[in-house]
Amino acid sequence: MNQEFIGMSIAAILTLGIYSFLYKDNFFYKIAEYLFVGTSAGYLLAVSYQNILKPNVFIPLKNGIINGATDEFIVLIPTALGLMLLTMLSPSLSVYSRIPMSYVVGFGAGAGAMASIQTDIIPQINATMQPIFPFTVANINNLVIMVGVICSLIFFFFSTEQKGPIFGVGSRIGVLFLMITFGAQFGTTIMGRVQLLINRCQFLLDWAGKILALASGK
Amino acid sequence: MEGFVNFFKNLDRRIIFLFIFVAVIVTLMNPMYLNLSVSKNASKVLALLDEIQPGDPVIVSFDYAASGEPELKPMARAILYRLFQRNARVIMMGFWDQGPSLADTTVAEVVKLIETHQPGRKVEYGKDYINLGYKAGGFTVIINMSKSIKGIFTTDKNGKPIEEFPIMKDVDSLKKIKRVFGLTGGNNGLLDIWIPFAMQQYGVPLAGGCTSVSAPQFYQYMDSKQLDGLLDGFKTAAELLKAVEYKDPVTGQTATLLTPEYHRIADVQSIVHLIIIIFIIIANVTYFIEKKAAIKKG
Repeated sequence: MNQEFIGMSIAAILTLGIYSFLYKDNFFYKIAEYLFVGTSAGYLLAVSYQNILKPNVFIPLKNGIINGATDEFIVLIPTALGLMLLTMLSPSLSVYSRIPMSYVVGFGAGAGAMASIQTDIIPQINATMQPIFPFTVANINNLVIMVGVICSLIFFFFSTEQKGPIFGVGSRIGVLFLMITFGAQFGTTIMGRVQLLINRCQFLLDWAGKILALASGK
Repeated sequence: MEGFVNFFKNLDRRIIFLFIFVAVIVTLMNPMYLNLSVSKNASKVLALLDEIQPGDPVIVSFDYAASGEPELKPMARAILYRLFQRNARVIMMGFWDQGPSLADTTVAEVVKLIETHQPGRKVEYGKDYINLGYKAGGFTVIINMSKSIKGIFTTDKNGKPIEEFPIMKDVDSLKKIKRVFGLTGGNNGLLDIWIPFAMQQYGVPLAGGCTSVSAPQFYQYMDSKQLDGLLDGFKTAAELLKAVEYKDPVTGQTATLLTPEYHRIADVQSIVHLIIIIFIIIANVTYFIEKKAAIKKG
């Protein structure tokens, strides 16, 4: 029995533990769930230390102290800001967490707002404004997109009652487009989840094959 | 009719789970190798891969965790294989902590495969490919990469100084990158980092793949030409594997990367989808019969 088989067996037993929830909540499911939460937290802590704290804080500080590279001490500013975030845990000191938080929010909102306008608003509006004449197959596609966008927007226009030829009919067509969208999302979600199931079943079959091979002494 | 309605209305969902489970196991054990045609999306990504010239630096970003691997690993295999076939310089990285570790496993398999398919060929770490590892910070990493890749990634995933690797010799900014292939399992990847910053701000050509769950969010970027190519889930991944061809060194015949193992999975997808469609039709028929009966009763 080699290490690979032991690892595979642990993974297979945990997989069966997780899937046992489909029958009903039980002890084995809970063990598998808690193990997953615990190992994920431990893994993230180790990754955060190795990839964030060590290269961005500890190594520059070590360089600064041992090699006298004083410019490396600039990392003390973001480190202090990071530590100030932890004051959130204490109600009496939590006011200090607002300084780094305001920096994070300000920088994130500034960069994000610009990116959102440049990525999602202008190019998407531009992609919607396509020619619909003459009536070729490509232009009919453009017409469908245009009608879909306008009618879906009408459905979410709540300032007036959705009645009459424009708001009434428009919102009903909008609902149809939204239902098709949700249907497509449901379909792709099924495809994704089924793929995960297939992968696990394939793994369990491989594991079962190894057990049979071991039992037959091959 | 009432019995039919009551049976399906009160059907224990565990019976449906059992149906699906049995269908998956039976089809995996008895593959049918149904026909798989290469779609427009898969052909487009292949065409983009074929635009890469020998020596071109290309980034493959592994922005997914183990849960995304069943759908994204086949894409990664096909993309990496084609890039090595075209002698590109492959730079791997990730915005998800598990991504670069999964990249290591995948690239090792692909290197082994290409060295078997091309006897005498040696694909070397540091010369033909490199793994820069995981970097936290999202879009700030892209902003920094636009100035200096070596400035933000000072070492590779294993901690060796990046200057030591010949692959990074003249690649010092994102602008030198010929194309980025982003494989994304959700947020923190193609959608909110690569498209808005690398493509939109710095004009880096972009293509990639996503899990089928998140696929509907990506189609709009294809229409607006912000994304040049997209593999949306396992189906297109299998199609790309089928489209990537190589000459078998033993038989001398043209073969594809679509192994029986992957073809079998595509079969299971088809069968399970069929069962789900049948259940959806039964549920809808039940609903309409019940509604009609309620109207009749007044």
